[in-house]
Amino acid sequence: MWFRVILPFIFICLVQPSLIFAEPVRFAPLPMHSEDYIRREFYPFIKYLEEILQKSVQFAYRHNNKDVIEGLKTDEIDLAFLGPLPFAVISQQDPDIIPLLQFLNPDGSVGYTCSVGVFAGDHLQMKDLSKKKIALTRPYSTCGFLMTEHMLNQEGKSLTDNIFEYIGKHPDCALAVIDGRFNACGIKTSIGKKFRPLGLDLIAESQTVPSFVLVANRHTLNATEIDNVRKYLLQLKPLENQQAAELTKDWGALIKHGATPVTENDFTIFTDLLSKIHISGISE
Amino acid sequence: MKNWLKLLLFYLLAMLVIGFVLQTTYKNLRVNILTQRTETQKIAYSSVLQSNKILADTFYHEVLNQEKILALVHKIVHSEGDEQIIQRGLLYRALSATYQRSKKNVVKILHFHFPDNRSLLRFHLPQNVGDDLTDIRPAIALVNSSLLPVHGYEPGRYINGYRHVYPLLYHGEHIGSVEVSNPYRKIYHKVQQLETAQQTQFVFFQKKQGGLEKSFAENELYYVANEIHPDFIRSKYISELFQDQEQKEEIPTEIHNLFAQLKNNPRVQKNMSQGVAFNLSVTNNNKSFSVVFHPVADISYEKSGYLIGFTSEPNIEKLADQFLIYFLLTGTVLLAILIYRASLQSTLEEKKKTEEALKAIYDNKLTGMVTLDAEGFYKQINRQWEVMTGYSRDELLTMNFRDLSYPDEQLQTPIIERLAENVDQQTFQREKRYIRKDGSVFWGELSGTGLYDHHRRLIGMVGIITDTTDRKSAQASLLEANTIINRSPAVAFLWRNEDGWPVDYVSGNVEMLFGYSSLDFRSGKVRYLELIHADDQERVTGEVVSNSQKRTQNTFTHKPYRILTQNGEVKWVNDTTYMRRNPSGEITHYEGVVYDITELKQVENELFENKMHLEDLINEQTKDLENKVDTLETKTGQLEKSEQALIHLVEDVNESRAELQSLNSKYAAINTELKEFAYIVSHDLKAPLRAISQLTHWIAEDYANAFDEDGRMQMDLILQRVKRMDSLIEGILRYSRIGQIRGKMERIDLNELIAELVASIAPPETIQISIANELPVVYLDTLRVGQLFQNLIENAIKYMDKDKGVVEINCTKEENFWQFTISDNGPGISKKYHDKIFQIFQTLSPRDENESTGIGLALVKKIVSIYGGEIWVEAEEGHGTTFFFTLPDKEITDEKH
Repeated sequence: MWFRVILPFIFICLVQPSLIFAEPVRFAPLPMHSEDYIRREFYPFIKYLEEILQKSVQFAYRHNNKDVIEGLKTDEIDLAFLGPLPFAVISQQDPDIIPLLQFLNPDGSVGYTCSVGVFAGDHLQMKDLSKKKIALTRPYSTCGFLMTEHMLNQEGKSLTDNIFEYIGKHPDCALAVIDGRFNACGIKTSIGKKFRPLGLDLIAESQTVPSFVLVANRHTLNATEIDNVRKYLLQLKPLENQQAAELTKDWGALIKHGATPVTENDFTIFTDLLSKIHISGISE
Repeated sequence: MKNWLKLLLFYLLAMLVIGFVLQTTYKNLRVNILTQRTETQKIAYSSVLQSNKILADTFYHEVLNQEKILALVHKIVHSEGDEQIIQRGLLYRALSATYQRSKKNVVKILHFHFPDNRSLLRFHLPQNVGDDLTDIRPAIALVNSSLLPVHGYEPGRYINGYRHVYPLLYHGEHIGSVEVSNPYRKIYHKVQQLETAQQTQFVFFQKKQGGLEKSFAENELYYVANEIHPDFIRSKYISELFQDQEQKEEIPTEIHNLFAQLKNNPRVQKNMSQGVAFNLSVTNNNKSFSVVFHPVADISYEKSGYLIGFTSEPNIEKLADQFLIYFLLTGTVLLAILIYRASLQSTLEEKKKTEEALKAIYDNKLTGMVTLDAEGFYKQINRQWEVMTGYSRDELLTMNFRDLSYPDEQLQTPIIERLAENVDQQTFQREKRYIRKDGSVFWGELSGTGLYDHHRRLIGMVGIITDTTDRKSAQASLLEANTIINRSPAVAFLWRNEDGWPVDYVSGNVEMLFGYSSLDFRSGKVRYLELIHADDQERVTGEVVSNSQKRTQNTFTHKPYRILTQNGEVKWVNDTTYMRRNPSGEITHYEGVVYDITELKQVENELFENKMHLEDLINEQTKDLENKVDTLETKTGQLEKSEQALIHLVEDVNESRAELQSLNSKYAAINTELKEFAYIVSHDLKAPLRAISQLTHWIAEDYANAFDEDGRMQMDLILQRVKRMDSLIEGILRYSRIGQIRGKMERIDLNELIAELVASIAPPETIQISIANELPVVYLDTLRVGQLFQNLIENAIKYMDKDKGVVEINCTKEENFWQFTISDNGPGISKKYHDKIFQIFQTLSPRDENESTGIGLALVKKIVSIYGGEIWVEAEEGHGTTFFFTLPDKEITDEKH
């Protein structure tokens, strides 16, 4: 098992000069936090990518998902860490943006669900969600408009019957409901559960969607590079291998637990939903 | 010199004292600046803490300690499960807006606790509830137990803060506590803002034991360890919790650069270990900083960290510069004063010395000195003038200088009057007589120097009177001695030891002897050496030179020599010379007494002539006898000479033989060296040539497709040239080897040998090689003889230009040798080349036409000459060639080289 970790290092030692002379690979992470925070979270991961690619990897921060998608479309970004929805959107527009792998949750599972949260003291159900204020994260957030609308649709409701607002991060949405500014929120289930001690009730939960994915731009990266990234990252099994765990211990929380293969088929749920639901802030 | 040394020492000492005083003053002022800085920071820090406490108190009283809030907390404390959750949510809902507003500037940490110290609700991290804070937050436990507010610094699980914790009581019931705090960084940032004008940068170093154990493991990324002291760490970020307002600890590089200096400072290390407050100033890149260490205690009064204020202190820099300038200025001024004083002292000393010197001159015991007024009355007299005149000082001061003059001389114009008349002359001398008090007379030489005012009017005179009575007496004696000399026949000379012996003095009677006046000599008109007879000049000069070199002897007498008088008469003189030397022993003058011995010499000559006549008579008689003896001796001599000539002839032959042997040896040595040289050079050349050949082959093979026709031709050309070079070197080798390698002398049947050679050469069918008659048997070295024939036969074949070539080998017996011919019907050789062809490297056609080294025939000639034979060619262009050569008919043992 150890050779899976050591092999890239040996490889690097042999061909180190290429790191200096080759064009750098531009990596854009998902802009979920401040640039400085994300830079810290992804710095060791980027270093590992450099070892795999034998190239310098540049931190190509974009302030929102839309800009990351634009960067991929205009070939200004070579690799990106994206949520499943942004990937689904870009893959519909450009088939050369391909998923390499999806990252595992801390327990080794894959994918996540979205929920609709309300304050327990408000005693609201899904059926009550008409003419209410609903807090959403961002347009490209999977648990934002798309999945919330999908869950509401399943109950015969729609966001369009309510007043919704994009307010930022998932905890912000939770707290906006708890402090009474909003009646409900669309939130990633795992985050919503953390706010249970403050009375956030999750009244609906979606089906599992793929995890965050690492995507590659086939316009700018060659097949060998893409294969290498996929191969070496999948080889790491931090949840099973102590050496790999040691290697990834400083990586960001969403990427440190390892990865698993993914194909475009895993995103058919989004293809279906996107054909039915027009996301406010994206589609128009 | 001593004075200068004293002044230098004084200067150094003074500068040391001044330096010490300035240094002490500078230190005191620097300490004052540091103290002021410390106090200012303390005041700013206290005011910030105080204002924060007021804000916290107000927040607590006006916002938190309200019925509605307390009721909600009461419900949370007394409920469980969903109810408790909902009540917590409601508490959050109740205060959320206020917290959001106040967290930007007033309160960042709002944290409710259960009475049992568990977290009830953190507004800065609301989802984290229920964790027990007893161990990590002593302030909470203290408030919950004492029910009294607690204020102070305390590290926390997530944030280091300056805490304000209040008890919560609902209708007298203790329902927990609440903390209204700010991160500690916010506190010192506020202090920093107050200090903005002063540009103080605060950095907080947290003691590891205080907070790191609780926070370091999970927040390791956010801390920097051991930048100044190993017991302390520094956080880089406030916390992830405040990312929206995250402030990275940006320490300016110039401050960060000071850390290493502080880390290496023992005082800093010691004081930080002890937790005491202190300050110091440091300098980096010529910039001074005050560094004030404020120990920070936690609520248990344990030292938990250091708030360190770094302030750029231009005043300290200026102070240092100013003190340096003071020091330099003081030093310069002091130096100038000391130099002036030293110079003044030197002048005074000089003056004193001059005065003393003048006094010494005035008080001398040899000359009288007087100062007179314009009328000639005494103004000042030295002791010696009193002695000389016999008058006392007081007496003289009432007298006129003329009063002492000898009566006859009183008629002369007094010097003082002459000085008054001749202002430009200023000094007059006169020797005259003076009358002592006792009436006796003495001679004195007066030198009078006028004293004039600025209008050039005479105001007095300084006179120096030297008693010349003795000198006068000596002069008289000398005059008498001179008179005696002048009357004697001896002439006294004083010559300078210079070229031609110029005369400094000659007695007046010189004219009697030489006919020239003494003036003629002294003026240089007549040079003494020129008056010496030409035949005697060399001898006399030699005598002077040889005697002058004898340093122990000062007097010598010349052998009599001749002089020429003014009227051309030759006189014999005797000359006794004394050599006068200077202190270093060099001769400066010759003193001589020359007197006429001409008459004496004439008598001596007559006696000599008589003696000579007598000797002539004796000689004549003797000569007859000697002639007879000579005849006998001549005959004996002739016999001896013949024998001697024979001996010389044998010696000459031996010498010639030795020279010949020597030349032979040299020639053999040179020959050997040449051969060795050719051998070594050829071998050394062959190695790189082999490499070139090999590489060229490889290139030709490996890149065969890369070359076009021209390229291939050029590669062939290279190979061809390399081959030729190899042949040339091989030729040199063979040529040099042929003289060196001596094969075994053996019987050779030339018929058999040539048959073998022809078979090995394998001539083309168009060329017929024949042996005209029976060839002899020779006793030589097979290898060399084989080479000889082979080269000549191959040569004939190589240059054959006829369709049917014929090569014939013939041999005839001569008196002591065999004469061989090898003839062909080839192109022949022009007569002008008959000699050239035997020279090494000579070919008659260009090498490109006919590949040849030009060594073959040179080799042939060498082989023939080794055996003492000869080789030559007879040929005509277009009519074939015949090579003739001879070989010995007997076995030889001694080869020629």
